[in-house]
Amino acid sequence: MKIRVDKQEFLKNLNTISSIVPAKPVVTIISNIMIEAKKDVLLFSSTDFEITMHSEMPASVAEDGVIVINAKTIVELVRKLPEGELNISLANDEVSIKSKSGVYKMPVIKKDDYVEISRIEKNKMFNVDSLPIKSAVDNSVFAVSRDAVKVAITGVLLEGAGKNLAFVGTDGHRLALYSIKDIFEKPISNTVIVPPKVLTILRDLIDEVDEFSMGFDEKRIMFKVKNIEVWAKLIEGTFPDYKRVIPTDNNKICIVKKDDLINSLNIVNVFTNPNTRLVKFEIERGKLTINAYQNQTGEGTEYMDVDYEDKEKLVIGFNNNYLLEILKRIETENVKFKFKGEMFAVIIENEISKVDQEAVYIIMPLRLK
Amino acid sequence: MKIRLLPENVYSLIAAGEVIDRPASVVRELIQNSIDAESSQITLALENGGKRLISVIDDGIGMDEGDLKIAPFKHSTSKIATADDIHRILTYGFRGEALNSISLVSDFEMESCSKDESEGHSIKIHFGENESVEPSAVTKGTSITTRDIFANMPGRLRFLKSDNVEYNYCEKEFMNLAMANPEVSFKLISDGRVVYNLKQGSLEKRILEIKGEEFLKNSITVNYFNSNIRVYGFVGKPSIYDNKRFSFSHVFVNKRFVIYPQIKRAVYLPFGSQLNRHFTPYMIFIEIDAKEVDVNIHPAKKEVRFFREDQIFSTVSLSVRESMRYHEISSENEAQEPDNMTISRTIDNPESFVKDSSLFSDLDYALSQKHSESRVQEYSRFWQFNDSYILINLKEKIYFIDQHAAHERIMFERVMKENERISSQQLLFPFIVRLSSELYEFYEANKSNMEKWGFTVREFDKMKILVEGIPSAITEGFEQSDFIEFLSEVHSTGSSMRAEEVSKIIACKAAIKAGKKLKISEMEDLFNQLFLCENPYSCPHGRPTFITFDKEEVGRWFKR
Repeated sequence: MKIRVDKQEFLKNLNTISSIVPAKPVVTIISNIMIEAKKDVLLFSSTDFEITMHSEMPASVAEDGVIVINAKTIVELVRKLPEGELNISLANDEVSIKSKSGVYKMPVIKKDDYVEISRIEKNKMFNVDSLPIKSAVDNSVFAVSRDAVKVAITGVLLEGAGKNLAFVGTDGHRLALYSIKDIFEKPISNTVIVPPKVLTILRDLIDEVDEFSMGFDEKRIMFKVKNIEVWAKLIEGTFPDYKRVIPTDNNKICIVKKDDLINSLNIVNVFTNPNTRLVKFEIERGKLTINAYQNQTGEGTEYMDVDYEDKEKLVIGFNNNYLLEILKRIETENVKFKFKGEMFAVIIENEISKVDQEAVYIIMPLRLK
Repeated sequence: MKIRLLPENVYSLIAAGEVIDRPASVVRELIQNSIDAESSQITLALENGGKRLISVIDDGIGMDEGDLKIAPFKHSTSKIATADDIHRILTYGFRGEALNSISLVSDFEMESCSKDESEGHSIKIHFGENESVEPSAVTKGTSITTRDIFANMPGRLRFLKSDNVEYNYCEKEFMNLAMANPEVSFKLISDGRVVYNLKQGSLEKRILEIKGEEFLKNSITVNYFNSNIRVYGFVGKPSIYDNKRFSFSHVFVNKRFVIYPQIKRAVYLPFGSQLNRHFTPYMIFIEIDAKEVDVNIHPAKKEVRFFREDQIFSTVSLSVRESMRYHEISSENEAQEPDNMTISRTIDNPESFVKDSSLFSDLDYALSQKHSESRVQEYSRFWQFNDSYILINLKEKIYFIDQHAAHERIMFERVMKENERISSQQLLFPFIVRLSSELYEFYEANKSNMEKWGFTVREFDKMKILVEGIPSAITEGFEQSDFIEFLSEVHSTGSSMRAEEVSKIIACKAAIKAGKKLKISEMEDLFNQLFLCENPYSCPHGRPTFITFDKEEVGRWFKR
């Protein structure tokens, strides 16, 4: 192998590709990355067995070849090198990098010793806008369970039905459902569970692009963003039937100024029991009273004017953390609560939904004493 | 006083009481008969714990009219014909006592149809009085119904316990046979409601249904054949730590449930000192030539005697050891090593020290990553060891904190402050829990307390309850098995069930587990919270939450 590359561009690719390389893997071979030179193109590959990443950059290639090299060492070295061109060549299982200021030699690993990495089949992919996907990731990942007991809900459910795509995250106490209308050009029907880590990687990659392509089969989710390709293993398991728990007869509607509510909740949070974070809502016509109480800390009560028409007074308890996490996701000035009763699931929504995207949050109440 | 020979009817009744001492014995004898009759589906129905009614229906080979007439009479059996056969018993029944005994102490009805017959027959015997043989509508298999057991023996009747207790005995017999015969479907109906419906399948599937996923996950599979003895089954891993739920030790010999505690020694030997409280649950099936085992010691056939007992012991030990090796659990007592050998071996591993010297370059690498999380590490004084212990250097001391114990203490003090009632987080996806009859009884007796403890529960079906809310202190996955664990732990605290005991259990369930990776901020929070506790020094169970080393002590390690 004999190539010439620009340091800045080379480092950018190294950084991207090594972002999934684990710091202390059990199988040490995956602390390496693979760089392949072929016909004026450099192909970078890395994997942590769950996620596999490729990226491509143009380069002047004098001689084709492959190197497998420790990610940590090469990133650290290239980062410190002066700007300009780098000459990289491989001879006798040793790679040599020449910069303006010096020469650096490192042993490489045989290609056969590295993990076999397959590339994705692009014919299964379809183009999508990145903007709605960004919102969907932001508004679903937060609700995912961080606990490994029920594996299925440690991931986000992506449900493609017709031209629509829904993201669902839940931890069994609250649920976030983000639906995007008409995102696909052709109708599809597929349901997969994606690890949050993968969605976070996707979120970073699509931050500054308008569109990208994605696809999924039974075992994998794939996406291609500019010169970077990623495919990742899906979570196997049965996602709970989320549609069943979305209430349809919550008729008591309460509309509240979102920022004021967040402020009030932050204030009474001082008095919540750190175990339960219990806050009590008392809602009656036009008025919301929020109260938190703890034996030794004391008691806090906040009053707010709200839009609530139901004649009956409603008293209901929540975990304040869950409530605040959802409210942070609300994009409109006002937030809409839909209640049924003190022991029933509550819907929280934007006051007005976008035309083609809709976010629905469900929170289960805390039983009051 | 003259010594008299007892009249036949009195003598028979006494003998009957020896085989049949409670409804559960009827259950055992009848199901065994059904299995011997090559049935593939056996249904057991009970009313009032079997006191009012026991009915066993099978789809086995059945009996023809002639057999039916003599079957309930003394020492009638199809299973052995000569005295020689008794040394080669593979079927469950053989003494020819069971049906006879049952028919003497109950209102007995048996219907059967053999494969060669076009129509079935029924025979009724009212406490030993033969009533009639009549044609019956039954077309396949045998169905036996006994009512009002011991109604003619007031002495016996008085010794029977409550319906629930008798039901528990019956259920145990049912389970023992169901475990040993996974190729047969079993159904248990009690007071009109289906309690178990076990479909035929592999042994593993049957055990899964009966003992639950958690037992299977935490046990090793044993399967071994040596010197004409086959040993198979499941043995709990040393990590299985449960005081009530997994406290069984089942032994089956040629599919017969037996009481044979002697085998314990052989099962535990390979574990050596690894066992928690010197116990782990097991379920061992031994298959051996019928000539080498004597099952005819006890009328209920619950005891056995092996002619090559030493051989059985060593085979069982070998099979467990072999399986541990397969599951990569280190076995002990192989060459009678002293207990501390294993410990010194792990410490004397020089490689692990060499690796640690590269710590700083690893940190450097972590810093070069753009993840904000790793950047915190630079300023952090906290380290986590083995994902279970937190290390921190404060002033001139090193603190070693056990994260689970510490968090347990924090949660405990908070739960205790929640006053009279613990608040309950409602669940989006409520779950159904099937309780053993013992736990169900306990649940029923404590229904009113469940709310106080932070649960929202509803009865769902016989022995099943729906959990709709859990104590809100528990933020991480809480499932069926955790609920059962909670209930059995509260149960085992005894009748007092003081708020403090229950709080301890909830705190333990809510606390971070050992083995969980913590973020720096989480470690810091845990550390600060711990020292805000009234008693930060020990967890509610009394284990220490942290230990410290000062510089003198560390200095001594290095012989300074």
